Amino acid sequence: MAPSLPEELPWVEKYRPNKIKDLVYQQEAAQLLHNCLTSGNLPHCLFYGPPGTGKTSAALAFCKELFPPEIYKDRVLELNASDERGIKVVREKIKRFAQGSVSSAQFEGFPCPPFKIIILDEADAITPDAQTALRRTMEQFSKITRFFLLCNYVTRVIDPLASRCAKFRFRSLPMQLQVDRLRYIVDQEGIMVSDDILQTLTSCCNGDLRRAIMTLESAYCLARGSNITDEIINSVTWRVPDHVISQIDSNCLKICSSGENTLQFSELRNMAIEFINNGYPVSEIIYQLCEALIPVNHLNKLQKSVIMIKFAQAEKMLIDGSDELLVLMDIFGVLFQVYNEPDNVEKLIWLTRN
Amino acid sequence: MKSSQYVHFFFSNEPLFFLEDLMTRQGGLLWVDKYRPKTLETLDIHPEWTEKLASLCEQGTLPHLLFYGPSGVGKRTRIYALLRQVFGIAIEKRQVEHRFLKVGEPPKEVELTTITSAHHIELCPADVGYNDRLVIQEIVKEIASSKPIELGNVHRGYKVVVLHDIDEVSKQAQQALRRTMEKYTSCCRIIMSAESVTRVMEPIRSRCLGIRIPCPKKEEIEQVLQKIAKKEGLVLPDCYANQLVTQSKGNLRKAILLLQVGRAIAYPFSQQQQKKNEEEEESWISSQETGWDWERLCYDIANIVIREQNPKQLCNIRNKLYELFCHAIPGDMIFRKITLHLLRMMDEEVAPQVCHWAAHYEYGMKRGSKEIFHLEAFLAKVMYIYYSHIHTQYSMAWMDD
Repeated sequence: MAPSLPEELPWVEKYRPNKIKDLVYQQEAAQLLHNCLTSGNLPHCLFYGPPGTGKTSAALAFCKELFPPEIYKDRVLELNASDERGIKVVREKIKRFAQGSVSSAQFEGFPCPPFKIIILDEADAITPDAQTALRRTMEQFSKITRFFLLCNYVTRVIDPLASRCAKFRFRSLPMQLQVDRLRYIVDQEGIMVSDDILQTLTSCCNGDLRRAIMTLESAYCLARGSNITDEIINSVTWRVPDHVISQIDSNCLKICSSGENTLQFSELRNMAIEFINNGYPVSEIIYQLCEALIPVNHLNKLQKSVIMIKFAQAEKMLIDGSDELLVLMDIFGVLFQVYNEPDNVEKLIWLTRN
Repeated sequence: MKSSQYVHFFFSNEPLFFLEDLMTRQGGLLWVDKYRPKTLETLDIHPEWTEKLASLCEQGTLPHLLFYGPSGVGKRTRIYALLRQVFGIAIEKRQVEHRFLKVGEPPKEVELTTITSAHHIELCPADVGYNDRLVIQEIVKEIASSKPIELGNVHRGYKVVVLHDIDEVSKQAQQALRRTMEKYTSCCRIIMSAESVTRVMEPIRSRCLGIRIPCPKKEEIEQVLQKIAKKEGLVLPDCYANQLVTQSKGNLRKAILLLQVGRAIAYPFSQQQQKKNEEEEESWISSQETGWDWERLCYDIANIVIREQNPKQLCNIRNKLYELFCHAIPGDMIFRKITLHLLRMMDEEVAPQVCHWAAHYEYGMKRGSKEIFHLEAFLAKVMYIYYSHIHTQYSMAWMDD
């Protein structure tokens, strides 16, 4: 059983970079980590950025290069949101690990600098109380312990913690780099995929490399050895099909150009019900509709601003758990009025009330 | 497992009568369970996914999966069928356990219902309520991190954790799931089901393959109903089947339940059809639109708002709302139903406003704690809007807040 296991790994894990130099993009962080490998100097670090940009991969790859497997467990403590990280854990577990001294044993081929590393993954999920408790610990033991804080939203890490770390923003990966990486994986797996397909694939993933790899693998599995087509890609991404999005815009246009006497909101209402029945995620509809409406010419600036404000409000409501159907109908209601009365400034502004 | 699934059903016209019929004649099995497809090949709806899922199993590298779509479209059935495909017949030996577990620091006792077989475990973290984070942190991680035991020839090298209603669990619990999903992929796959993916956070979504299950088409529902009727040896006239399909609104489970209730009330079905026609027209329309009694109550409430707008009627509505709450109908379902009925009956001109206020007050309800306040506030607002709309031709109602 043991030898067969590595093959069973999903590609996302299989192709996770094991060395700093394999890291895609993120030059500043890679540069710093690389310097540290040679000099042995390392500040506390804070990596932040959107999902799938390589924060965890960078931290793990760095640790793997720094320490040999034999002492890895003694030197590196990885805590993520799946571990209890209340104030008690910070006071006891983290502090105990941070206190212990390190041996100066050297291993061939590994720099093995005389400090330990604590990786706090998903640091934005640590409670503010626990973060406060961490402040002094970080300073007190900085001689023998370094911290890596990884998070999506830097604003949720309290300032005193952030100011103790060197901050690195992990940016969304540019299309081309993602395509290159996917190309590498595809070559390793021995699959024939055209560049166009890889392009469409990455364009669906908003710079999230993990999602791109994940999608690629699913598409490959679904295609069952035959060629991967656009259609398959569409069925495995989270995106709402483009024709659905353009249908909203064209329906609104059709309704408002049909003359003032035949106000037909019911058509939009039925469309909303149909979308919900089809299971399209409303957050995704908002996101794609927003992208689609910004470049159009048939809306003026005021109309667009009103729509965008509405989107922002709706997104907040959805995150707080509002009913999807009601929110979607609310959005359509606003769209309907915005399309119908492009010049009624007073009313349009009033629509943005909260 | 999901308590609300059948609750609406038992609040129907003749629950006792129906139950009696169920126990004596039909062996105590609901048709929904009796005719639930067990394998991928026998799934009736969405054939396009069947083949794809089968090929996913074949590859041996099953990714994490997230099934999403409205309720009653067969997400759970599909998950079972998929597990059956992967692990074979062994998955059918399922055990339901009620466990009391001590989790967290200091230890808290939580009650959790799990369904287990040799290869999978199934739980619904949202059932635990406030402590769902602890369940995910401790239980799911513990299950996920241990290697599966080898069992005969169906050994797959991984086991499966099924998490239902993942959209209902808290943000912290979802956070807790993130690294667990990555760290233990070598020996564990997670399959989740959700009604609304919007509430599933982005990092979770980017870790799994999303499978969207839309509502079945009307013809598909009708086919399934006819198939069941045939197996039960019943004659199902097309017009009655049509009525059931309309009532079900794309919810296959509801359609099947309605069929069974209809069977218990009167057979042959044609009698029922006639009985409906004799009643006065209005109640016939409402029964066309609605299936269960609680839905009819929502219809009544909407009707009152449209007909008369005054405080007296608001009191009247309050009684009806309390009746709904007494039967444990969740507030968001009431909100949805009433709004849809209102929109259908109202003038098109005020509809966008009603939509706005519906979303507004529903949002308030989700954040607040007393559902009745928000529902009443909404209905009062709609009364006001509608009143001013009728009484002034050029309504300025949108101006006041």
